Amino acid sequence: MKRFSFVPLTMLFVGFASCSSDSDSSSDSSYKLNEVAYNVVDAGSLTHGSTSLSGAGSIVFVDPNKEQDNHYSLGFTLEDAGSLTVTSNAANDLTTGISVEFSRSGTTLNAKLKNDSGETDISSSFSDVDASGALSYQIDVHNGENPTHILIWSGVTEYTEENAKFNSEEDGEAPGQGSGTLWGLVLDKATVSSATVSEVKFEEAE
Amino acid sequence: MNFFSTVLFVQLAAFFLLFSPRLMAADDGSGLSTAIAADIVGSFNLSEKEKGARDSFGVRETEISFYAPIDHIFEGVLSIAAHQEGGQAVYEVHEANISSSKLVSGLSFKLGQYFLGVGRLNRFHRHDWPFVSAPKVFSEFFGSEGVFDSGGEVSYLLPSSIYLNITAGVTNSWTYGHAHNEGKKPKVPLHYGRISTFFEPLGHGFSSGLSFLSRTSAEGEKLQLLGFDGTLKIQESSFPELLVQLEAWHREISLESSSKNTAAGAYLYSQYGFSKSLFAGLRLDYYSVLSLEDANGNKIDNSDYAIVPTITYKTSEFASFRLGYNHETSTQKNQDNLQKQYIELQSTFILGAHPAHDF
Repeated sequence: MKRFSFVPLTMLFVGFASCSSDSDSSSDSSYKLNEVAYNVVDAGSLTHGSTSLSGAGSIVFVDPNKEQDNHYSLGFTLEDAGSLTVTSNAANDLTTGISVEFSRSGTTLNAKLKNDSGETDISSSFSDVDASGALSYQIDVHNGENPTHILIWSGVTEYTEENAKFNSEEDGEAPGQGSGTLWGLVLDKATVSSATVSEVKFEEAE
Repeated sequence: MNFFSTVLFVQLAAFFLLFSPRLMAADDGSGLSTAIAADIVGSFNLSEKEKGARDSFGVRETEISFYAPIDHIFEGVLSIAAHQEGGQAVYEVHEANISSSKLVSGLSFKLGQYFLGVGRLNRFHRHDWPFVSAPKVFSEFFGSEGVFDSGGEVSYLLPSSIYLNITAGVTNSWTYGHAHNEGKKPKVPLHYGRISTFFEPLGHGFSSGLSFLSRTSAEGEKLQLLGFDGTLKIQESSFPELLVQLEAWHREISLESSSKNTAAGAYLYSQYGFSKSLFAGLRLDYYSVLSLEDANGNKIDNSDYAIVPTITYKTSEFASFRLGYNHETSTQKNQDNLQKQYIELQSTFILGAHPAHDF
């Protein structure tokens, strides 16, 4: 019995765990939004500022998301007929991802969930929004589920299903999943003042 | 809760209420046994900054199981579990299968719904695990309680001088993992296998297995899992003095239109028994997304580590109390490390019979 010890087993495990390769990952990015580096996918008519991004075009943030499930926080304005799309779990050209698109028509805010195979109109969840003002949304993308579970909040401190402005499990199913690890934005007559990613706010039951 | 599960559960509940005295007594000659298991869990953060726990205490899962010989050839099991989801109880059929090991010598099979016979943890109900929550690699690849599905599974014990068992199965797999709809017909259904062995060095028990699992979804996403599991039990008294349990898994997900996503991880759990009632264990977890690249195509080193010491007090196989401390570290190149510290409390109890376990 005494021959067996935790120590050699632990050393064996730590040895296994430390077997990861190292490689250079210096950034090739030219732009930063609020200190977060991004690459331009479609230059379009984008105007790059240190605290804002505006115009039309698309970008992909350089740092990948290790986790399948992530939380995105967006602050933006839309011109009439303008739109902003946040795409997560995507490739570096923003393909194969799962997207939430906000678009403005007059003072009406329309929204869609999209991926490469289809889209779901979720505008009815935003019928009370005046799209001509500043908009701020916090979005949980649970891509570990199929279809992706998406929750959208605005102006809340408790990120629950009850407080969600939109919950894809109740208000409109996502068209599928994303299959990448990058995220980015597609702008058209839009100005983005903040775009951050963090851990998911809503924990699924075990 | 889907319609089928709702109807089935209501019917079962009514049946159970009407006939429960007879079922619980199990003295009607049918051999029918009933087990009701409750899994009560609390998790509390030790740091306000980075939270890994819910800061709540409640019933994680309850499960009602019926099992019995159907006749002289077949056996049957029905197991229905309920867990909290969005503040509501969600019911699901964990197991509903017919099985037999009496048709062909050395061969056994099951047909219906069941937990897939791969790896180590996936073959056990969560309330029978030696720790509170799943290691990272397991929850990423199999979900928080394991993968169950409807299909068929065959096991064959090779007629050789050493113990060698081969298990293979195919399942419906319209969904895989956490899903809230019926899914879509996969291009290639989930198929899996495990080859396992068992021997007794110095009179102690050691089992190990190699597992494989694959599925191609309706969208063409191909999932492949390859894993190793090993379990050592040293028992010189009337209780296991040492349990060592290891699982290591590699996952590859590929889509025709994009590059492969690969990840790997492992956990090692060692548990020492001081007596029949008191056990102390330590689990080490590791997980990494091997294929992680930034938008410039540079490889991004990353890893998740966890250290999980656990103390278990059990009065019998029917009641246990557990306290676990989780120290998790998540690293990713060019980003700050994330650290979470939280404790988990667990109480499980079983009313009625307790089905026999595999080694």
